[in-house]
Amino acid sequence: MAPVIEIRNLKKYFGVAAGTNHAVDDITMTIEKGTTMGVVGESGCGKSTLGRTIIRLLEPTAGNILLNGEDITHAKGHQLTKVREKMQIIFQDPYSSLNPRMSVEDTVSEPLVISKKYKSKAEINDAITEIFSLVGIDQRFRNAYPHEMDGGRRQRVGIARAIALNPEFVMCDEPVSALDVSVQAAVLNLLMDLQEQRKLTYMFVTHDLSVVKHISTNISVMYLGQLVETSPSDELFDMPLHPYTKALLSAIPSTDIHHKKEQILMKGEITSAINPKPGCRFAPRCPHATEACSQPQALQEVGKNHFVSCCRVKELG
Amino acid sequence: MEHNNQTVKRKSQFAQVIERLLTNKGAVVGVSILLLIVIISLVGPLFCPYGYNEMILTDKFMAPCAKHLLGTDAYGRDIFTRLIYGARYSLLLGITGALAGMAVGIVLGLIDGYLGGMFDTVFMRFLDIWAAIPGQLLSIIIATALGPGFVNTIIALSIGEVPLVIRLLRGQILSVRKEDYLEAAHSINASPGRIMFKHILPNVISPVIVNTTMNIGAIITSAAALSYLGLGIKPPNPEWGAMLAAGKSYVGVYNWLVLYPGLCIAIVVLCVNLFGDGLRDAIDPKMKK
Amino acid sequence: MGNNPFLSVKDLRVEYTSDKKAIYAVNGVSFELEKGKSLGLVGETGAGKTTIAKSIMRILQCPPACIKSGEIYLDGEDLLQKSEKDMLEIRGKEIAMIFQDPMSALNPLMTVGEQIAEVVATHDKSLSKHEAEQKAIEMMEMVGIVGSRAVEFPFQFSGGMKQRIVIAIALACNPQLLLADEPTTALDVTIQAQVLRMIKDLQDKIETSMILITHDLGVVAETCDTVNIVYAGKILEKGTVEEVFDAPTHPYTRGLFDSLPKLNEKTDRLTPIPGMPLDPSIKFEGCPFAPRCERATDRCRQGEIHETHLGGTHYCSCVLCDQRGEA
Repeated sequence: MAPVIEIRNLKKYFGVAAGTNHAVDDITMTIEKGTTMGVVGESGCGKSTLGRTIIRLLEPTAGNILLNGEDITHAKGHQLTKVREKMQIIFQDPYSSLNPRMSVEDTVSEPLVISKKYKSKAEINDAITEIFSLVGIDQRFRNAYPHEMDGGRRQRVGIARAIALNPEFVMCDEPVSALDVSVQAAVLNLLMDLQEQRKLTYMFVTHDLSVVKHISTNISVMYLGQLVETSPSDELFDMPLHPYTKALLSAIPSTDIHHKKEQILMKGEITSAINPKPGCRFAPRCPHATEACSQPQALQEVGKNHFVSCCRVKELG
Repeated sequence: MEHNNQTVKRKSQFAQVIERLLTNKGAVVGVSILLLIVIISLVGPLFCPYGYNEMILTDKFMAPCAKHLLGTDAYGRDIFTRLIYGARYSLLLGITGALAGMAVGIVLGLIDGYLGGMFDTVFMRFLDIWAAIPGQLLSIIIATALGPGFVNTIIALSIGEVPLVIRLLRGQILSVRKEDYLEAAHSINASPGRIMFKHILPNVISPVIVNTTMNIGAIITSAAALSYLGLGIKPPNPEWGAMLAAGKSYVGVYNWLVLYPGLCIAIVVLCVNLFGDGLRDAIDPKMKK
Repeated sequence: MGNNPFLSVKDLRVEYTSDKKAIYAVNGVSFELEKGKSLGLVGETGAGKTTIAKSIMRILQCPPACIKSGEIYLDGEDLLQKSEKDMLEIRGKEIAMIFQDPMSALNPLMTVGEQIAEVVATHDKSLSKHEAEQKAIEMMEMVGIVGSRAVEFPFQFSGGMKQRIVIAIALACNPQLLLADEPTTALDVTIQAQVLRMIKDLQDKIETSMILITHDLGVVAETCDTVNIVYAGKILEKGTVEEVFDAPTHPYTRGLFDSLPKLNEKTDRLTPIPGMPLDPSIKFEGCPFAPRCERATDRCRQGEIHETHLGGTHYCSCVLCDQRGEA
């Protein structure tokens, strides 16, 4: 399988009052066609920034982004227009992601109108009918405004807008976090169906580990802008190696009341990625930290597609 | 929220605003009286027994009576007739003045809100200077510089309104800018113009419309003030403010000279404000729910 | 069930008025909670969980939110019969509430130490200012924040820390009942684990009973002894965590479990609950879940659905278990 997205040493820094925020720091990853890369981490770890930088909504500070082998890091003008048609985004908040003054039909048809790929109103109309049935929005909602719909339907409209131009890569930014569980399940099913039908490649950013396990092929764990571990989905849950991944997985509240797992409670709080010291950013909270952790860490391959950024991974097992 | 399987009918948000507006008693009364005044000012002259500048020197300073309903002025002109003709000028000045100020303000405000950054910093300082001069004074200065006349008066009247519109718009845009739908618009290659006019403007314009409506009253008063100072509409054109100005010397003796034009201005300002209040409530009942 | 439960809510009904329409938020809720135990109220957005807690706290503003009927006994006394003056005494001292958003619960212009001390001082007038401050520092240490930070302002703390301070304020007067409304929803998982563990430890220490409101079944499994499943302002199923999690009986409870992605098993497709929550402005008859339930019959849409005793403390309001003992 060919990689759709490759990023190499991608960095995105923001200047803030207190210094420089290293929101995305030296991240390398590959996403194969038709697969889902789950990106997990806690608030402020840079997972959304990473996704937005990849789809070129934010300007990267350094590094490269490749779409189907083509370097799009600095794409401009016509090239950027083409790139954006292939890369889309689904947002977390189904209230804020839709223009309250535009009807559902106008929202979904806008990308079609802008792309100028359709010759007549009738063609656009047919395309919308098809997209609506694909994402499961009843045609009677065409003229509805966002405030007339519930959260689940709104999220479907956001999905419809994202897939309207038949993109290859969709960055899903916590698309189900704002939804109730019963609705969340339906939206997750829809995303998986669309992936199968249209061979979509996803990057799925979330803080919900059970959701990410369900939908992802591979999972990357981020902590304060750094990639700490990346692995095939099942392997990550069966054999987490980085101390942060272990702590994170153990903290998930489980509905399994008979097999209580031992929680690894971490000391302290997540700090920030503003003017960070070199080395592993998790070290101040890590029970296994040593001197060596203050040196820059390299990703080590520990298995097929399984990489860990921890100098003590071999000793800790 | 659920529509029980009925197709959601195409009902524009404009239609919904009108619907809500019609349930507001104050607004309905205000609009009805305004409409009545407009109709009278358009149709009225056909039935007027006198011309607006017809001087009947024998009827000078005549008190309201059967011949001259609201009396006559120093040149024996029928005040009722002049008020009807004057309504055209006053209303037209108020409405076009407010709209012109709003249009200029919207364009500048959108550009400023969209560009942000350095441009915004510099432009805001410039605006501070602009707004530091009281609107009324600015109008007088501009009117003096440009001289009297209809178009010049409109420019003079609307110029003080522009920085207020920009300020109002800028605050609104700042709160809308972090909304995800703008990011979505970027991601589907929407042009800056499209983003400004289709995605930003409709979401920020309501308070500006309401504000402008409320301003119509203030602008009619300003126009009256300009005429009063002899800077607005040229005599002998009957503008309510000008009539008020002409009557000022006779206030103690022939009070009808100032009473009726003053009353007309007061009624129009009141109606416009009632309408503006209703419009504000109709546009912004928290977007229906 | 004990003869004299610590907290007992009987047939609570609450209605809101919005745009001249009645919103039926809580429709006959009854439950009991024993001393020192934790009860999880689980349900989706708009199920009426928060309204139930606010009714117990008596902080609903009427209008628009009015308690139409019901009794709430705390230690044998009906809270709904108390005067507002008595409630002022009871709130904070006997019942305390923690809200989802810690930021809005703290005054940004007061140091956190002052805020805790203020609550301590209002409920124990015998304390001097210095003693109240001393107690505040003790409370902060109890929730795991070094006492020297008492002089800092809320903005100097992270979200998890702020929630700890809110909890410290809530527990400052050793309340007998703690109402926690989604206390960890805004927090990250590792911080959530810390805060939940802390609440549990403190609860053991000062023997507080707790009602935990959440939409997360996992959080309930980790923290609660008993659980009530709430839908459209009604309790559809209740029992101990073991009873309900081992044998979810009501179709809605089952639907909730089925729609969750599982961590320990591989599912290709999730099973969402079809349809949408009930419009709360419509007064329903029968089972509120019937319109979305695949097994609903005509019997579900009429009359009152009675609770069926399934053994132990496990109850379920579904005609299916009424007919056959279990669904």
